[in-house]
Amino acid sequence: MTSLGLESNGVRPVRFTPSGAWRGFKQCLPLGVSVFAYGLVFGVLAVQAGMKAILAGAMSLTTFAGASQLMVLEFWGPALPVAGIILTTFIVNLRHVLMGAALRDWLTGISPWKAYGSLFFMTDESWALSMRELASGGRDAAFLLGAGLCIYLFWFCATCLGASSGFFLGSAMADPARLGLDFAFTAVFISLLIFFWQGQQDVPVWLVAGFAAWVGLLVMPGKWYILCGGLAGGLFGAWRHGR
Amino acid sequence: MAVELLHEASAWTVALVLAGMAAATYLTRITGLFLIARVKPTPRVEAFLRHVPASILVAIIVPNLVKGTLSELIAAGFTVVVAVLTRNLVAALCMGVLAVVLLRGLWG
Repeated sequence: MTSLGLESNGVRPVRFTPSGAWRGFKQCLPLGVSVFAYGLVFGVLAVQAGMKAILAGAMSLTTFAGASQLMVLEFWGPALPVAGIILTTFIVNLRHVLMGAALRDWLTGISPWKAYGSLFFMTDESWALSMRELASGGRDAAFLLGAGLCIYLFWFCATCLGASSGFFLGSAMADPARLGLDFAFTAVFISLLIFFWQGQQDVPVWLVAGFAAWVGLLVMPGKWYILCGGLAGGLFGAWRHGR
Repeated sequence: MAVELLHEASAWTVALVLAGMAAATYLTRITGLFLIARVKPTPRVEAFLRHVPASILVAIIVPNLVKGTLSELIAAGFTVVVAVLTRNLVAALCMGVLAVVLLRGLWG
């Protein structure tokens, strides 16, 4: 774990090394355990919704986005609303646009192949860890890829395990709350936010973001509240900057 | 196989859904970089982007706490304390999970 002391952004060139990827992979391992629990849940629910196990696995390999994969189960049946599912998937995942833009210091410093390849594996969890690494002066962009691959591996293996063992495992293990694993994500995001703290000037922005997210949660479906809060906090910060 | 088709969407439809979901998700993942690499941001856009990451974290956390039980709120407090004191992600994560398990066990 690095300390947040090195503020040398923009001085050293961005690198992309296996050791950087390994570092990201290792830092993501505690989150991998929680992702594994949710992958089990998805696998079990997918089979219960009538999806073939191999299809659930394929979806975890290609789409690799928990919220939209769970969402599609609501639509699953003999008549699939193809356009509706694809559009909803796009909307549910729109928050990724802001997240990808926030990583520009790393991603514009490496070749497009590496950047766009790494982005395939970007999740909320690996993005948040990468932002912390970036903010603390880390200059190895492969961190994002390594952290993403860690989540990818756990998500895929858990999906297959959950889908293949179906109801048996579903009744025994598919309740992450029993082990407190549902709270693991909240705890991680709280900690990362603490590390992001730069001073009192953050308070108004965070309040605006929190309020917008809360309103979004009340009036909008799915994970829209994340985009809502992110946009509101960003726009407020930009507005304040211009005054 | 023919009997199966009566009860399920056709293989082509399923393949289309699978490919469409993958493409739509990947599009959201790459659009941010695609735009930011081509358009030089103004200072105001810079300020916007600077405030987005923490705002997204706040936005992820708030609903969890608003919908959270008392156990989760107290565990969140413990997580904050450990994160501030140790600056260590794993320590704060373990504290949060341990606290929530113990507190839930404590009052049902």
